[in-house]
Amino acid sequence: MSKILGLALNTFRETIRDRILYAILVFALLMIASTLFLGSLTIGQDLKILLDVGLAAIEVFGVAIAIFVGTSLLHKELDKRTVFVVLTKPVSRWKFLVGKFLGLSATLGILLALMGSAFLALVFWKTGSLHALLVGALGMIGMQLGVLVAVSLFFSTFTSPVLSMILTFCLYLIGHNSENLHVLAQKAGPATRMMADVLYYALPNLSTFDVKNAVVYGATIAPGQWLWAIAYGGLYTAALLAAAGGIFERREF
Amino acid sequence: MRAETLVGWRRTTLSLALGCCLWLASLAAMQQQGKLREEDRTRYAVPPLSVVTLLATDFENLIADSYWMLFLQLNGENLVEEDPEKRDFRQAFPTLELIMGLDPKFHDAALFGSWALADGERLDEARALIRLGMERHPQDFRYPYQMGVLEFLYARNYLEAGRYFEQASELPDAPPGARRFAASMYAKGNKTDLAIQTWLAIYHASTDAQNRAIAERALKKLGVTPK
Repeated sequence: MSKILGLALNTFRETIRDRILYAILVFALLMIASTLFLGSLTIGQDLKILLDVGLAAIEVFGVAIAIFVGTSLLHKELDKRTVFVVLTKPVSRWKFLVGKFLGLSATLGILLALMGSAFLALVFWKTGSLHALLVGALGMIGMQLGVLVAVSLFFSTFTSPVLSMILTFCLYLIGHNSENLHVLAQKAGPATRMMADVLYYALPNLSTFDVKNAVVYGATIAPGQWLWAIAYGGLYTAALLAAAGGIFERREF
Repeated sequence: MRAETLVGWRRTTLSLALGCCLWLASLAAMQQQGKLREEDRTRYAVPPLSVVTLLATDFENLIADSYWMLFLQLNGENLVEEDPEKRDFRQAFPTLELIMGLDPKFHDAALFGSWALADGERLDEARALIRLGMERHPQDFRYPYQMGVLEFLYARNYLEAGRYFEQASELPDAPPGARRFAASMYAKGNKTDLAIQTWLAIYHASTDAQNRAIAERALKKLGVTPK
């Protein structure tokens, strides 16, 4: 465990120094701040705009960081050959991957906390109160980012960074449309339906983590739904990391 | 891939993003200077709902907000335009329909939008918009209430207005005035029997003295003394 934590700490230090993160963070904060201006362009919808645009900005910039950094993480190690130094020590490859995952997740957690704090501060300034659902929504974005980091690490164990980026982004799009695809496939023939069902269960259903709409309209979310999203995210991430570890173990350098 | 290549790739992406921003800024500047043709200034793309939903990746609300702001910016000018020839509401209904499809709980878009459409002499589209809201939110009094207002103010169809006000009054959280409006509309539409019936219902259901007094006065005007 201490080896994993050491690797995670090292990855965290490495990723937090990446200047592109700060550029993205500044863009995200500007975007969140711009909701004040955008809200004034609408008629009585300023809070809705603040919540919609704020949560969307946090998600979009978080996803951008998860994909950009996640897909290049492993390749940097391979490119600089630092991976050989680490793997000659008594550290298994899966531990190396888990360490990388935890390190990047910690970086994303901090960035999410910064963006989330700015967003919550604006909401509090505007309304004078904060709803627990908002924190829940930020947590769900965090869960989604965790799954995406695992996806990007999984792809980067066997493809190039650019291809990993494209594949992870495609999976992000599909993950948010899997419900639609499932419904559409029910109208097709049995073979297509079966294939669609397999894909539906195999691909990540990222809509599970989407509570933005409920937050904006103050709808209640059943505790079971939260628990299901957390369990689903955790299990899916673990399965992806296990698969990535399996591929990485067999990889020849 | 080498780290240098990755850095180069990032630079290309950032350059492209910067290029896009510059292009948008120049477009905005040209628009400001009136260099774009009039029809280009007021036209924007309203894609089909099914396409947008498929590509929205759970950002439906955000896209609805963007179209709402676009609607307000462009149709707001129409609303204050003195010359009716220059008013262009052609894209208003498809935009509002798209907004309602993307974010069905965006009630203000439908309610305010129906005002704008009716004011732009597009009453049928305003009705269609409210009907859409009534189908999606059958328990929301605001839609039949708004339909009543539109029928009263723009169509001068008092019986229809009365029918919608009455429908609104039966829904949860409806304002107490809805039933009174219905009764007044029936009286205005020369449907004395319906007006008496509605005022009597108000009179008997009223728990406050003021409402009762209003109903009593209206009934006396119609030649009925409530018991």
